[in-house]
Amino acid sequence: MFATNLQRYRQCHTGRSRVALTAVAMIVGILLAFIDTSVAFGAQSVSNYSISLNAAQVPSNPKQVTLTAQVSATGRTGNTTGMTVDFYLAASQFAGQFGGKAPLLLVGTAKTDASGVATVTYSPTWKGAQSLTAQINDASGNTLATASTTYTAGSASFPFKGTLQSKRPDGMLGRWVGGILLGILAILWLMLIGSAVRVNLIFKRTSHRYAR
Amino acid sequence: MTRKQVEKVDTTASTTIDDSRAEEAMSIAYDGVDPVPAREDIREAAMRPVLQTGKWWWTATITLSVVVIAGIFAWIMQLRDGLGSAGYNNQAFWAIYEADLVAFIGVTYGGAVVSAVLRLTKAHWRAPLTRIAEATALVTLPIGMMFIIPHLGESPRIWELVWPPYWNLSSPILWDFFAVSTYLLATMVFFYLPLIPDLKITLQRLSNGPDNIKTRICKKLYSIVGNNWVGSIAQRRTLHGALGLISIMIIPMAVSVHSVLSFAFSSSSRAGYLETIFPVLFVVGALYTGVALVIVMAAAFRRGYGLERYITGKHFVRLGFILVALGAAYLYLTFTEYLVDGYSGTIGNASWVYQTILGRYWIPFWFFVVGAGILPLAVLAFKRLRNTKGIVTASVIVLLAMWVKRLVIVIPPATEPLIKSPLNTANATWGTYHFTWIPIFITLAATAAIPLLMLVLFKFVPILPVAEMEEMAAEDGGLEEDLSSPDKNYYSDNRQIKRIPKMTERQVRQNVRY
Repeated sequence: MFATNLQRYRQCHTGRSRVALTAVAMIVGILLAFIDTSVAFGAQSVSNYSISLNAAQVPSNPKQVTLTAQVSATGRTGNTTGMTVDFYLAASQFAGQFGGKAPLLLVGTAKTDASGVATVTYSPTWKGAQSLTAQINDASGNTLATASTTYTAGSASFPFKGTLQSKRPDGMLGRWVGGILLGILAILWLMLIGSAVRVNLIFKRTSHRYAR
Repeated sequence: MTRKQVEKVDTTASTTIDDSRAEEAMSIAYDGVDPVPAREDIREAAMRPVLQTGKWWWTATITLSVVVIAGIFAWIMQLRDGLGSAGYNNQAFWAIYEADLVAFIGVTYGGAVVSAVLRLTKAHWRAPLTRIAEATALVTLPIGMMFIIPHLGESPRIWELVWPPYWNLSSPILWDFFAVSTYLLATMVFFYLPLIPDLKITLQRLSNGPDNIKTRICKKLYSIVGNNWVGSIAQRRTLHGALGLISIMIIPMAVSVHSVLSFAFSSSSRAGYLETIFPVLFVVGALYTGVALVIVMAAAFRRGYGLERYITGKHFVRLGFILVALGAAYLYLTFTEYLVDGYSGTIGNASWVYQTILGRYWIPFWFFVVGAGILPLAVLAFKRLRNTKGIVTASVIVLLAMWVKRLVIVIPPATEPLIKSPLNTANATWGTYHFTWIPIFITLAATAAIPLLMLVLFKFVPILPVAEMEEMAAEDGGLEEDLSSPDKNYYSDNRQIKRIPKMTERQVRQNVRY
C-alpha cells in the first residue's frame, strides 16, 4: 500500500511537495521503529527475558538459604507471571565423575508471582561456597535466561539424617537380637579356642604323668 | 585342712579335671603304650614333602609366586586408578570380585564335607584325604576373604568395616565377616588337632635327619605343639572327643558362612538378587565346588608326591559320587530359581531370566549347564569314564563352570536397566561389564595362591594324617588294597582288595612306637 501511494505521489506531485512528503514519511518510519513491532507488522514469536538471582540466609534458620529469582521481560507483551523457574546447585565435588564439569543438581522449582519473583528455600548439605543457578525455559524446553550467584554456607545439615537412622534395619532388629547373635558368636569362639587349649592341657598333664 | 574339706574341694573341681584324671589313670593302666601299630610305609610317604624338595617343587613354587606377585601388582594399579580400571561402571557395580569372593569362600567347604562329615559318619576311607581337604580349606578361606578388599574399592578404609565403633549391624557384609572369621578359626582348630600326633612323628623324623636351620626351627615349633603326645588311650580319647565336637560345630558353621554370604544379595531389593532360595543355593554350590577342589588338589599332590598307594582310584570315584549328587542338587535349585522368577511374570525378574537363558548372557549360562551340570553326570554314568582321570577332568571343568555361574549370578541383575522396559531388548539400555587385565590377574593370582600355599604348608606338616591312617588300619584289621593299578575304575579297584588278618590286642600292645 505504501509503495502504491508513493507511486501515485510521484505521478501527481513534483518539486517542493515531494520533498515535504518524503520528510514526513521518514519521520513516520523513525517513529514506527520505536513502537512495538508486533502491532505494526504482526506478532513476534519470542520475547526477551532476563533473570537475576539472589541468595540470602534465612534469619530464623541459619542452615537455610532463600533463593530469590527476579524475572524481567524486554519486549512489548512480555508476561513474567506464572513462569517456572528451576534452581540448580553446581556439585563441584562430583566434577571428576562428569568429565571435569560440575553437574547441576535441581534444588527446587517455583513459579513467579505477579511481580516476576520466584522463591525457594534451600538447605546446604556442605559448608563453604555454593554455586547456584536459576533458569527459565519455554514450553519446548529451550532456555530463555539463566543467572548464577555464589553463596558461602557457614553451616550445613544432612537433610535425611534423621529419616535414615530411624529406618536402619538394626534399629528394627533391636539391640537385643544383635547382642544375642554376637553372644552366640562369642560362645562359638570360646568353645573352639577352649577345645584346642583343653586338648593341649590334658596332653601336657598326661605326658608328664607318663614321664614320671 | 580336714579330710572333709579336701573332699569338698574335690567335688567342686571341674569335670574336665575329673575326666583328665580318669584318662590319666587309663593311660597309666595301659602303661603309656601306643595301642596303634606304626606303619613305616605311611610315615615315609607322609614325610616325603617335608624331607624331600625336588626340582619340580622349586619350579612350581617360583612359577606360582610370579603369578601371585603379578596379581599384587595389578591390585596396586587398581588402587591407583580406581575400580573403573577393573571394568566396573555405574551399572556393573558388582562384578568379578563378588563372584570371586563367593567362589573362593565356597571351595573351602571341601574340607568340611570330606573331613567333618565323613569323620562323623566314621567313613574310614576318608583318612588319606583329610589332611589335603583340611589344608585346602585352611589356605582357601583367607584367600577368599581377601577378595572383599578389591571388591569394596576404597581399601585404606577397609578397617572401618570391622572396627567396633563403625559396626553397622544392619550390613550383611559385617555379619559375613563374623561368620567367615569364626569359620576360619574352626578350620584352624580342625586342622591343628589331628596334626598334634603327626607333629610328634615329624619331630622324631627330623631328629634323625640333617641338622640345618629349617629343621632346627621346625623342631623348636613342633616340640611346643606336639611334644606332649605320647599316644596313650587317654590322649586318643581326648583327641577324638575334641575332633568330634569340632566336626559337629564346623558343619553348621560352614552352612551359616555361605548362607550369610548370600544375604548380601538376597537382602537387596534388586530383581535377580532378591531370592529366598539363595542361601540354600549358595551352600549347595559351595559344597559342590569344595568337593571338586579337593578332588583336584588330591590328584595334584598324589601325582607330585607319588601317593598313589594311599590316595587311590577308589577315593576319586567315591568323591565323584558325592560331586554328582551335589551337582544334581545345584542344578535343580538353579532350575527352581529360574522357574519361579520367570513364571512370576514381573518385569524385572522375567527380564533377567530371559536375558540369562536366551539373551545376552546365554553363552556363560549354558557353559555352566553343560560344564557343571551334564558333564559330571556323564562321567560318573559311563563306566569307561568313571576313573581318576575322568573325574579329575570333570572336577576342573566344574570349578571353571561354577565360577562362570557366580558371574551369571552377579552380573545380569546388576546390569539390568531399571528405567526402560527391559523386556524390550531393542530399547532397553543394558549395562555392560568387560574384563580388564587387572581383575584377571588378581583372580589368577588368587587361584595360584592356593597350590602355592599348600606346597609351602606341606613342607612343614605331613601330607597324610599318619596317626589317623594307622588307627584306621588297625581298626579295619589291616584291610589293605593291592594298589598295582590304582587308576582303574572303582569296581576293578574293589576286586583287588585283599584282607589281612586283624591284629589282636596283644599284638597291638607290642607295637611300641614313642
